[in-house]
Amino acid sequence: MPPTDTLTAPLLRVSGLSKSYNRGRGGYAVLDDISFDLFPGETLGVVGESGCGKSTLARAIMRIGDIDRGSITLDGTDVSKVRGKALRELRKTFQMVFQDPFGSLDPRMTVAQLVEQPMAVHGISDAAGRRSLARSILSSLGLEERFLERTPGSLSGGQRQRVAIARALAPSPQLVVLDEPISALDVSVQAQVLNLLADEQRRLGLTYLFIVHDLAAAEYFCDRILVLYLGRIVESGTSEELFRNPQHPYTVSLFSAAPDPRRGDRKRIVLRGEPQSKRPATGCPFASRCPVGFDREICHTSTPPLAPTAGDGHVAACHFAGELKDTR
Amino acid sequence: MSTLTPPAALPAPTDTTDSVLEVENLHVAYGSTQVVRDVSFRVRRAEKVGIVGESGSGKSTLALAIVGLLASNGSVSSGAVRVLGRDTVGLSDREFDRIRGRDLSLVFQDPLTSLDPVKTIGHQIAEVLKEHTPKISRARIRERSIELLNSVGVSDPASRLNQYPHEYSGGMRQRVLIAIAIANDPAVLIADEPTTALDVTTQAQVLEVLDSLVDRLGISVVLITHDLGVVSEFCDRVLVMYAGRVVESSPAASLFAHASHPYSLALLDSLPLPGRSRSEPLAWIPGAPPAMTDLPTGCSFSPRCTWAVDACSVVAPPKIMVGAADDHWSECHRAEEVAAAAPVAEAASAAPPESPAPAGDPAPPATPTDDRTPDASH
Repeated sequence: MPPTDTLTAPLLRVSGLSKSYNRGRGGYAVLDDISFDLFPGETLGVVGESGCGKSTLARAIMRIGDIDRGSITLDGTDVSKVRGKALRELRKTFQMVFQDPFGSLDPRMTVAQLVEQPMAVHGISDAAGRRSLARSILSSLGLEERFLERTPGSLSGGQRQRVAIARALAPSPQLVVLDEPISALDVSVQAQVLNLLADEQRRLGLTYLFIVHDLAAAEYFCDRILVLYLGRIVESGTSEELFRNPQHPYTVSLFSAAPDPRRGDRKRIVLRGEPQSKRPATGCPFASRCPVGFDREICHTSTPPLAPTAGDGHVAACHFAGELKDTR
Repeated sequence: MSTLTPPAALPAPTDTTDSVLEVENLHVAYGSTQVVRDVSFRVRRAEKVGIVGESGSGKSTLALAIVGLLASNGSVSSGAVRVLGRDTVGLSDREFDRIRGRDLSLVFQDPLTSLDPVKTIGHQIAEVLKEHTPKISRARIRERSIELLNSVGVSDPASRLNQYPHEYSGGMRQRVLIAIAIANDPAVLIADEPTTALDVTTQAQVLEVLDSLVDRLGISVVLITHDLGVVSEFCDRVLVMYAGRVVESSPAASLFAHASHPYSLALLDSLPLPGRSRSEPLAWIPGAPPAMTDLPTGCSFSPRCTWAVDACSVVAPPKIMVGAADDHWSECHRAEEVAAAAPVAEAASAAPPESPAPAGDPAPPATPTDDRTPDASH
């Protein structure tokens, strides 16, 4: 549920986060000055396309590698500064489901072992207790008894991803970073997994950061949404408000390009040129492909800041916010 | 290898003069396991047919059988695949090589593994051109390569020809594969999940390119995908596959509102479409698709079907025509009742769209593909 009480402290606060690979020569910030709050029990969606930095953001929060600047505060502790034993201890509270169900599971372990392992690492329960917990969480994910002794090699992609989700939920974390958790699954299984994630969230009071490229899933599943483009937040707002009334031309184009089986006749907005891999030195990162700003000087010379727009808490970084409408 | 009793014939197509591809009662097996069962459809010139299904539905095997690239343990056990009127079942690899690329071409999902990383794009296009026109001149190769890259929307094609696949973005690589596939003017393009690995805005570009090929060159496209949104938007007609069979064939535009097979309906109901409330869980299909070695009797979907009655697990349903036109059928005993039940979010889709674009909207027109060739609509 969205935070109605503004006194609630965020579970996760990301502030001024910048992160580059190959720091130094030719360094380029894959994430540039990212700030947001995530409140307990909330689901925040991060949407954007390849190269927008959404997976880098997930990894930075998971403390995989160091960041250049900024802070990532989880429940009062700056995760980016914690190391060694303290970090291991802290890791129990934030877990991640990776995008790739093939690379993220040890092929020699059984399903039961895979789910029990994180509990053992964090000293949860005894062997019998862990087995029973693993069994119950796997069965709620639709993997019955007969899967317990199988290895990942004998599972379908969808079954593997459900094992990965069971593994993440096993240590009872507060924050779960879901990096494209349903992308590899069949449609009917996607629905099942989304339902399960929603059930577990309600039951355990989980907080989700949901990295997703499927906009329909984002709208359905998230309370609030950040739209990332080439390492910057270009728009954010509540899921409802953002989808009803997108303000940034990139967001509008993105929504328009997402196929909808109910609207066979609608016209998609096709962007100009090819996707860029880097932000230009000056101006709006979207300017060269933007239906609204490609020929406007200000868009190429001045970087628009995130500014309040249409509704409550709805912000967009565009000189001409709201000008492009989705005509579907 | 296994001998099957020929199944009851479909209502015979009355007019086949316009067909570029006809698949008739096709059965494909890996070893003794049937994975494609009695599939029949035909594709007209400049028609876009979507084949939609989940993992294991047999859709990719069907595609491979059509293009003659089944794995060595796979074979067509009965039925026919006619490309421009010629039955390709049983052709030798050499004979099929002459058809593939020229009459019939294919595009796979993964553009990175389909392109050779150590050869330039120009080199790879040239290879395909020489394959079917051995005496083609170097000047003609260059001219045709530039023309092909242009037609798939690659900017600055002359200099792009000298680049390697890694210098192209994912969407450009996929468009290059399409360029290679159409190099020898095929009549039909079989595209297996061509946009699945791509971002949505990039997917929009690729679909736009495919649309323009259909409109400008009259190519027919068979699009194999798991994405119901993509088929509804791109295709003229959609075939829904389950457990190796086509269980529903429908005009794409009416699949959402008039899905007539419980499986199609359940798939549509499971989508997290805008307007569906999160407070209500998404519908999903209990159980799992059957093993092809152990199919249930009667309708293959019956053990998972909320519409199933006693007869469903006993008698395999015939194809039942739905609606007034003769272009929509479903293999379900209760097809007409199912057709009357709209997916849950249909009401939401009836909501009026946002206010029209304001005057002076500088959005440029996408690509001039508004007009469909008359023979694409039927």
